[in-house]
This record gives sequence, C-alpha cells and structure tokens, in this order.
Amino acid sequence: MRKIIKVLSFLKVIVAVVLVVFVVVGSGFAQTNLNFVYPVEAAGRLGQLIDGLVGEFNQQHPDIRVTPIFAGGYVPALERVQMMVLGGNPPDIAVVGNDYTLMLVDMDALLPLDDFIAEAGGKSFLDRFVPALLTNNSRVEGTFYAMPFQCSTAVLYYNKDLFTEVGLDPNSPPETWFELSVAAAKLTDMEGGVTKRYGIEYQVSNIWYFMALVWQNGGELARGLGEVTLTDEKAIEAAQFWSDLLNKWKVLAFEPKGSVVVQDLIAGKTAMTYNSTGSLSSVRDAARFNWGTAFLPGREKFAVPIGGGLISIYKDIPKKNQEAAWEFVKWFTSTTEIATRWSLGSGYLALLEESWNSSQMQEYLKEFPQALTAKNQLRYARPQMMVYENSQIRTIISEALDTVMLQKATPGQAFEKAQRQIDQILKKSG
Amino acid sequence: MRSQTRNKVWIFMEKNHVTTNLVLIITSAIIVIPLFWIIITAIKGPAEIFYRPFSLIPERFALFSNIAEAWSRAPFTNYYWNTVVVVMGLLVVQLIIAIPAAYAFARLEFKGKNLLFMIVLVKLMITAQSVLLPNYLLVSSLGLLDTKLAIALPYFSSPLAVLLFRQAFKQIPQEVVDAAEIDGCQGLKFIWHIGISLIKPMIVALSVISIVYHWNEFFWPMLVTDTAKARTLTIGLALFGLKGETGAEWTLTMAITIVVIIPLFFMFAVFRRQFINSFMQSGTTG
Amino acid sequence: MVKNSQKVKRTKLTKSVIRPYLYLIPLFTFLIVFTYYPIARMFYLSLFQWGIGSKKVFIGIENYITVSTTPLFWQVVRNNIVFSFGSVFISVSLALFLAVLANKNLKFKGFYQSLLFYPHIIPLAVGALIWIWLFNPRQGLFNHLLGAEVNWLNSFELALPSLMVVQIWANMGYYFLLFLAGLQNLPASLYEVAELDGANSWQKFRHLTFPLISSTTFFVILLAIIHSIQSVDLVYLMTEGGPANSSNLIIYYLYTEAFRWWHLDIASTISSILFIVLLLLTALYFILLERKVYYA
Repeated sequence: MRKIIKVLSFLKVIVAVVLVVFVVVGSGFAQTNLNFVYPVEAAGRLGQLIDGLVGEFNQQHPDIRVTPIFAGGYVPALERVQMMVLGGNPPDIAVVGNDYTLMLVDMDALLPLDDFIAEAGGKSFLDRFVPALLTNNSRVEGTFYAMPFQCSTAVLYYNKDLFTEVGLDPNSPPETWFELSVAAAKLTDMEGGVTKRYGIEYQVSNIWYFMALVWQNGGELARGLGEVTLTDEKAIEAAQFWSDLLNKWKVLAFEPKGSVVVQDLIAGKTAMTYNSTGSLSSVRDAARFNWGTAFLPGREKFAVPIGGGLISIYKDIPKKNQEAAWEFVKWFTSTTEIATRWSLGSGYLALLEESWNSSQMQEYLKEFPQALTAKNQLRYARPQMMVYENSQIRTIISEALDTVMLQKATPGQAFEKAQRQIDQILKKSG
Repeated sequence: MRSQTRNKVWIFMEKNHVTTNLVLIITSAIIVIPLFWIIITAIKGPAEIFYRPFSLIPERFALFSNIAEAWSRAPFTNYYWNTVVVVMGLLVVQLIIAIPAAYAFARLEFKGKNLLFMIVLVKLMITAQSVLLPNYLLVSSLGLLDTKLAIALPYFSSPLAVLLFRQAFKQIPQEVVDAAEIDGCQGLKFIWHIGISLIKPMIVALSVISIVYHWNEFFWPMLVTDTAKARTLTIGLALFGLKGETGAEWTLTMAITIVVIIPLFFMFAVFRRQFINSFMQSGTTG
Repeated sequence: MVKNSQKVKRTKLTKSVIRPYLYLIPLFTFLIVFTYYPIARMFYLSLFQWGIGSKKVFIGIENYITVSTTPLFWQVVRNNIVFSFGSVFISVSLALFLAVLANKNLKFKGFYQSLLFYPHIIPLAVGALIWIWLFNPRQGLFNHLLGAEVNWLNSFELALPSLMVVQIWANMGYYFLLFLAGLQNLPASLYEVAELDGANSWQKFRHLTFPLISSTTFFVILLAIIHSIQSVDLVYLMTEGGPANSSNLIIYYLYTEAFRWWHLDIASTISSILFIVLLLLTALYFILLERKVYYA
C-alpha cells in the first residue's frame, strides 16, 4: 500500500512538474482585456508604430487594455483569426486583408457595426472618411462589418536617374501599356545573354496587380459574390500582355512572390516596379538615387484596386468587450490627430478628409511628393475582388498566372482550366 | 604471417588516404558553403548588401550592430526564454514519464506487454506533422492555444526515450537488481537510486536528441502560438526573415540566425563526441 | 497482528501485478490523449461533411471519393514520391559512400564528421532562409557564381529539385553518422580474409560491407523517407508549393486545405490517408527488421 501511495505521489510529482514548468500566469484585473490581431511581424516600423499607438490608447482608457498580437503578414493573420474563431476563442479585434470580409461574415464571425455607427453620428460620422476608402469591402449586403484601417493602392515606382541615363524624360513616366513596354525595353540592360538590369518587376502571381490590369483593359474578374469571369477576353488579353513582357520582349524580371521586388529596385537591378504605397518609406530610406511614383499605366482607362486591411470586431465575445472594442476602433480610425499620425508613420492612405487637409500632412507632402500619387489615384480606385471561397480562388488564379508566365499553357487554356475549377468550387459552396 | 597481412592492409589504406581526404574535403566544403555565406552576410552593413552583395570583406564590421538592430525590432529575448523553457521542461517531463515505463518494459513481466510495447513503437512514425489537424483541434478545444504547454504536449510521451532506456535497463545484470532488492531497494526506489545512474549514457543521448529536435522545431509551434508569450526562436526568426512587403533584410536576418544557432553549435563544439555518439545511438537502437 | 500480515501479503501480490501498469500510466495517458485519440477522432470526422460554423452531416466515404478524384491530390502525391525518392536515394547513397570512405583511421575524421553533420543541428526552417538567400535570382550567391540568372525556386523544373538539395544538405550528415556507426561494428577479421583472397575495394564493398550493414541501410532509408514526408518547413517557407503546385508536397497541401481554405472534412480525410500510409511503412519496416528490433 505504501508503494501505491508512493506511486501516486510520484504521479503527483509529474503533475506538479508539469504545472511548475509551464505555469501561465493569467491576469485577473478588473479591466476589459482586448486582444487585437494585427497582420505584421513585430519586426519593423509598423509593429512599433502600432505598439506605440495602442499604448497611448491604453493610457487614455485606464479601464481598457488592448494587447496587439502580431501575426505575420495578411495571410498568416487571417489564418490565425480563423483558427481562433474555430477554436471557440475569437479575437476581440482584428485587422485582416480587405478581400476577406465576406469569408468572415460567411463564418458568422463578425459583429455588425451599424448600431455603433448610428450611435456615433451615422451619416455625419461616415462623411468624415475619404469616400473611396469607405466603399472598400467594409460592407456585405449593405451592412457594415468592418471599418477601413490601413489602405493602400499600387503605384508605379521608377528610378529617375536611370530614365535620364537611357534618354527618357524622368518627369513623364509611362501612362499606357504601350508606353510602359517601350520604356521597359529601353531600360533593360542586357550583356552577353545575361540581363544586368530589368525594365520592370512586380509580383506576377499576385492577383492584386492582375485585377488592375484586367480593369484597365475594360474587363471584369467577377460578377457579384458568387461568380468569377476569368475567361473574359479582356482578362486573357491582360495575361498575354504580361507574358509578352516576360517572354517575348524579356523586359520583366520574373518574381512571382515579390519578396525581392523592392530590394531589386533599391539595388538598381530593376528600373520600375509596381508596388503598394506601403513601401514608400522603405524606398525613401534606402534608395541612393532620384525616384518618382506615378499611376499604374492604363489601357482603356486607369484603374487600380484598393488593398490593405480592414478592422473588425468579433461576434462571440462578451458585450462589454464589444463596446470596448468599438471604442478602440473609433478612437483609432476617426480621431483626426491619431489617424493623421498613423498615416504619416505607416505610409498608408489617410482615412479622414481632415487628415489630408491638416497642416502636418501638407508639410509632409511638400517634402515627400511621391506620397501624393496614391491619393490622386483614388479617383480610379475600386475595392478589390471579393467572392465566396476567396482564399482558394485567389490561389487558383495565381497558379494559372504562373502557368501562363512560365509558358506551360496559353492564357486561354490556363484560364479555362482555372475557370472550370473555380465554377466547381463555387457550385459546391452554394 | 598475420601481422604481415595487417601491415599490407595498413599500407594499402595509407596509400589511399590522399584521395579519401580529397573527396571528404570537397564534400565538406560544399556542405559548409551556406554556413560560410551566413557569416559573410551577417557581418555586412544593411546598405552594403545592395551595392556590394558578393564582396567577401565588409566595408565595416557590422555583425554586432546588425544583431542589436534585429533584436530591437522583435522580442527575441522572449523567444529565447520560451525556447529554453519549452525545451528543458519538455525534456524533464519526457524523462519522468519514460524512465519508469522503460523499466517496466525491460524488467517486469505482465500481460499484454508486447502489444503495449508495439503501441509505443508505432508512435515513432507518427510525429506531430502527420497529425497536425487532429492535434490542433484538440489543443484548441482545451483552450491551450498560444501557450508553451501546447507546443510540448504532443511530445510528452517519447517512444524513442522508452526504446533507449528499455535497452539500457535490459543490460543491467540480474545480480545487481537482486542485491538491491535484498537491501529493500526495488521498484521506483531502485530506479531512482541505482537505475538512473546505470542508464546515464542513454539519458544523455536522449537529452541531446530531444534538445536539438525541439530547439529546431518549426511547424507545430508555429500553428499553435501567436504571440511573444509562447513563440519560440525558430518561428521568430523565420517570420522575421520573410516579412511582407519590403522583403527580407538579409544582413539582419543572417545576424540573428547566428544568435539562434550558436547555443547548439557551442554545445556541439564542446561535447562533439557526446553529440555524435548520441545521434549514432538513436540509429543503432531503433 | 496475523490479520495485518495477511493484508501485507495480499497487497504485495496485488502490487506486483498492478505495478507494471502503474509505471505505464503516465506514458499511456499522454500517448492516448495526444496521439491515438486525435487519430481516431480524425478518422471519425473524415466520414462527415463539416466546416467552420456548419453542422456535421454523415456522408460515409464520400470525402475519400472527393479526395481521390481531386487532380491536385494526385499531383501532390506524385511530387512527394519524386521528392522522397530523389532525396532519399541521393542522400543515403552519398552518405554510405562517404562513410565507407571515412571508415579508416583518418587524422581529421572528427573534423569531417562535424562539417558534414552540422546542417542537422540547424533548424530546417532557418536552413530554408539561408537557401532562399543563396537561391535569390538576382542577388544570390549561386547565380553570381554561375554568371547566369536561374530562377531556382520559381521554375516548374527546378523548384522541387531545389528543395531536394536543401533536404539532402540538411540530413546527409546524419545518415553518414549512422552508417559510420554501423560500419564500426563490422568484424575486422572478415576483411583480413577478403584481403588474403585478393578482393579489391569494390568487391569488398559489394560482397562484405553492403550485406553486413543492410539492416543499418534499411533503417536509414526508412528514416530518410519519414524525413522527406515531413519536410513541410521547406515548402512553407521556400516555395509555398509553387509555381502552380509544382513543388507542393502532401503535408503542405494538407495544411492549405485545413488552415487556409478551412475544408476540415477534406483535410481530415487526407490526414487519415497519410496516417494509413505511415502505418504501412512502419509495418513494412517491422516485418523486414523484426529480428533487429527484438534482438535486445
């Protein structure tokens, strides 16, 4: 018997060791604790900026404590949020990519914000925002499920010194596809079969840029929330144009994932890139040459999708958390001073008209005129494509683009195959 | 006659040492290139990498400033601490669980022993990666996401440890056990006072393997953690190296890489023989 | 008093019967809760149609039919077979070759061992980062040395082989050590006899070394296969399965189905299939090596 007791106490030791080794101290304050999933790695400017602003909010609201969770890029953050929802432990607040509102609403994860907005002043509250940014997939079937948080568009970055070097006017960047190809050809520098410098480089598999192209060409990628029109002639033409830049004229650096696009621009390996306005400050800090930004070149028209992230509140959290969360969302997005600072620090588009008119912003734009391009381009901006099963459908389209770019299929073949897959998926999801 | 043969063999081998050495040197050199390139990259300034990416000697030696910069950008101190806690805590638990079980399998007779042992062995093949989804659902339903415990739980029962210790316990002569029993020292008392010291080499071997394996693990910890509260070094580094729009900053990433791999490299350098024997051990037992 | 001693006897008897089981309780508790129960649950769930926020509907083996008629699944299986076969064959034969070479009284043996083995103590995820940097198309070391612009990780033909290179780099040294351990246990006397018979090195290898270390070889091959099935870190960090799934492997595919697209029913089904494959591999291994496992 004594032995059994010993064995039992041995088991107790195990339990004790487990507990001691892995103690997780839960905090038991009377505060409302909110976690806030944010799509960036803690590394870098953005993470520090968020940390600072959240800290400020916490200080001004002693009864609320927001803790940021830095979850990596947009995709990991979305996965993280979905996992948390699935695990029955949703985040209180999260910023996710602006084409995933539907997916989260479909999961019944998001809290409708209409009541909160009405309480904050309804129309007069909404009127303070830049209109283009409000239409940015914040609503699903008329109901607000998210507020704009960080918005960007793609712009054309170009190396002015190289423009001068090859005899192009550094102050008139290409405005059409045709001008783009000509400039890219001039800027490409080939030596003995090896390309020393490319005319242009961007993430070819990223449907965000592809969407812009299709629209510029007068086409559409989707109709409503449940139909994708990839076999649209205009889409096929757009893919053919990209493939020609890469394979026929050899002026495009092939970088489907885009992890080195900005680095290549900075290192002078490429003369022009399409990139998010989010990279403005990185380029400014590292470039040792004169550079400019411009609208993405158009064909039938200018067009560009709005990208970036929206902020939402989650449904299955206590009422008091929901209210505290709205307090945070409101504070962050609609306090003029905070919104202005957030925009200046991050490089994202300012959300409020007041921010654009503020003296701080005016001064900043005088010094850094490259930042104005994105605001001006908003005239041509639209929310990006959002459909059911968005994640998988984006993957399929980007795979089709890979196939085209690597000449494993013509755009027509690749898109037809992808269209069939997509139709099947959308049919299944109903 | 015999010694003559041996001499002949020796001379024969001696002659070939040049080629042997040459082949081994070339292979080793190829294998070492990535390590070499980590160091070359890590000591350059962040700007230099754009303009002189292939120079072997940096304009200025920037290793320490790179480490400091990277360290200030992400909570590597937390990552480090989490890793140490997970790895050491897990090892202690693994030992406590595996030693009595291995003793039972080695020295006690009971019904269903072979079947039970088989069940343990099968787990050798089922590591966390092949059961990602069910384990994730379980950890999540226990409300353990984003804890260090979640990283370690699936590994508490280590079949390799049971296997190694079982073998070691079997090699203890019966007389030792009998003598101890006469002194009233049996069961857990025997394991604690005598057994552990007799199977020490295997404990060391298992410890080395477990530490290396869990120090380096990536996918499972990445799935179950989100914040600096529980994240481990490997994940912190990998995500640091691949962050979003501006791409990786290679000088900083490689500088942090050095910090991450140095503890194991240091252990390896100091206990090289022990390390190599442990990993050899893991093979000859299974 | 007498009663008492009887009691002691009885408890002693019970104790010796249940003692082994008591020792096994902690082990089996965690084994069952964190390995076998999740697996059983996964099999159970693979028979339902379900997802986030949707009710479970029993549909029998329909998920298995869906998976087996998904072209992507078979593409991933094919990729995984190519990847496993290639990386296992190259790393194991290279390791064996080097081990036979190094199994001599070499002065710098320890040095070689360290240099060949070190990649195995670097986290594979970190190894992946290093290799991304080496493979970088315009700023990487390899293309610089080659004087060409090869798109290692973004080409249909090269993405999977590039991952194989990293896999071989990471594990070859470990297999080398295992072979070396096996070779050291071989009886020297047999070689002396062979020497007397005038056997050359190839003959010695073919007729002596290779048969004698076949059990080590089996073990190493199995280990390498398992390593190759599990190398999801590389895919996740280096290629994300691209371009167009040409480097997608089974565990990464499983991960996308489960955690990116949230097709939990399909993911459970793939998990179950994977589990059965691993189980078959294990069984095969035990059948082939029964004696070796139980010799102790």
